[in-house]
Amino acid sequence: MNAPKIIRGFAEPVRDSQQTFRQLLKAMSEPGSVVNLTSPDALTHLYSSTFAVCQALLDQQTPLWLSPEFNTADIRHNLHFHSGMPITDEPAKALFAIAYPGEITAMSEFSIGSCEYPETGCTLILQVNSVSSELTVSGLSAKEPSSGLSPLMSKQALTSLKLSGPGIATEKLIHISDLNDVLINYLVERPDSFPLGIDLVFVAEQSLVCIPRTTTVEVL
Amino acid sequence: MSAATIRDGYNFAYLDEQTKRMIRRALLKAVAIPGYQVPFGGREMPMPYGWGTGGMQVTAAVIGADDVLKVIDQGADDTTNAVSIRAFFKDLTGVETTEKTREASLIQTRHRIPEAALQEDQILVYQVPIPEPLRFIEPSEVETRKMHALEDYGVMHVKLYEDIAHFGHIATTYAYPVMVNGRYIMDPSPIPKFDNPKMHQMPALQLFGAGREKRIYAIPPYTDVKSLDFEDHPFEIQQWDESCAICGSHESFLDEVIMDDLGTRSFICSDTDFCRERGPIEESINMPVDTPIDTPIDILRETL
Repeated sequence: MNAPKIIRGFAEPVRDSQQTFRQLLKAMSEPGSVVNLTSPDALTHLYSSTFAVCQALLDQQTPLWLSPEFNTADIRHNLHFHSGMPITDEPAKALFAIAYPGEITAMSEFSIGSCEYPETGCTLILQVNSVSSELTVSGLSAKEPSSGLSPLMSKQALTSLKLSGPGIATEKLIHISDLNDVLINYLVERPDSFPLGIDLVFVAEQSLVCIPRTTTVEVL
Repeated sequence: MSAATIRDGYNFAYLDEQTKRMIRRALLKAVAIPGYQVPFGGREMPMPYGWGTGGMQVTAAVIGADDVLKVIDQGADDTTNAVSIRAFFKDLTGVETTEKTREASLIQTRHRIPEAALQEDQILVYQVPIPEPLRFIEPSEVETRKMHALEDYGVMHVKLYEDIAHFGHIATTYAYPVMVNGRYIMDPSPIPKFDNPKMHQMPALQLFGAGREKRIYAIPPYTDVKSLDFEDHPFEIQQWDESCAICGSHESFLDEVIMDDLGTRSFICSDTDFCRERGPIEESINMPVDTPIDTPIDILRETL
């Protein structure tokens, strides 16, 4: 059996986690704003950008749920080594979760928080092929997505979303690939009334966009 | 991070990395639930509660080497609290500091919002003494938490109504409660109600830290912030008949200053950067520069 390979984390952990957090803070407070972030190395399935988010936010206080595609020995070992967070088998107990959109069958599996403690709702990190805010989509260029991607990540049509709500002056248009009906329904219908809900982070290879529970979403 | 400029033996921005991560997670949830107070594991800071330990912890979790920091206390850059906190972060992060509102990327404030309109990508960090707006009405945390969960805010309007019954008008002049994004009632920290309208649809991000009470809350940019009022007693801000004695401003928040022991009063801008930028207006300076006014100590000396 092969020993899992440990990859490099942030070159300067103090500086790099701060910069990654600032990008996340901008993305979460201005839904639909695409920000850039990265970490030196990536793993099979785990983008360097997703790995950067994990290093910046996760530690022993944050139970993490990994979808079947992400629940590999390599990813578990590296996240343990760099962040030390506990991994949970039950999505409902996770403060953070990582998955491909195609693997999400029901949003009700995740914690939406309680009326008295709404902040305990899950932050769901979804890896997609592309996120973009421009009308001309550069994320889906002719080149194939990098090697090692799951068949679940096979190219799907972009979904164009119109966002409005706190953090957005009037409205914002973004394009996200690989969204399935479960996610689109969740975003449009908002079955959990505010302040309950799940905050979504869509991560592409180098960039990221957030849709928190406050955002009103319309599919174009 | 330029390690050479940081005091030896300390982590960047004082707090350890695990604490920063915990505060950062709380901040992300705070912006996702505008106006809701997220509990966090507040740490002891090297100064007493009440001096801005909450604001400092938020600033420490947010600040990076590229930031330009401004710190104000009641609008002024040169008062004890502002000078100390600015020196603290200069010592422990090495970041550039400024007194100019427009040049700052990060502004920590005690009890004022700068007069100059804040821009996108600026972050305003408030020092908050008591984050719970319902606390003076309901002392139990269990109860106030339930009231927020149920949106049971009638009692807040009763308090404002009692003002009207006693004084004929809403007498609350600072820490005036606001409704954020139509859901949570929030204490804007003890800013004068003069500043409340600036919070509404502000392009900058607003973060609030309460150190002793261990709560963090936030208002994302472009979010509705409405001061509570009644149809027949609409929200009003303070107004002055006087103007600033230095710059002549009629639009800014004015501090009343006692000039001598005879009770002569003068008014000056609370926001020192705003006042300096406007510059002195000749005719409005009513204090002659060459002949200093006798202070009580001078008078005492003469009589001795």
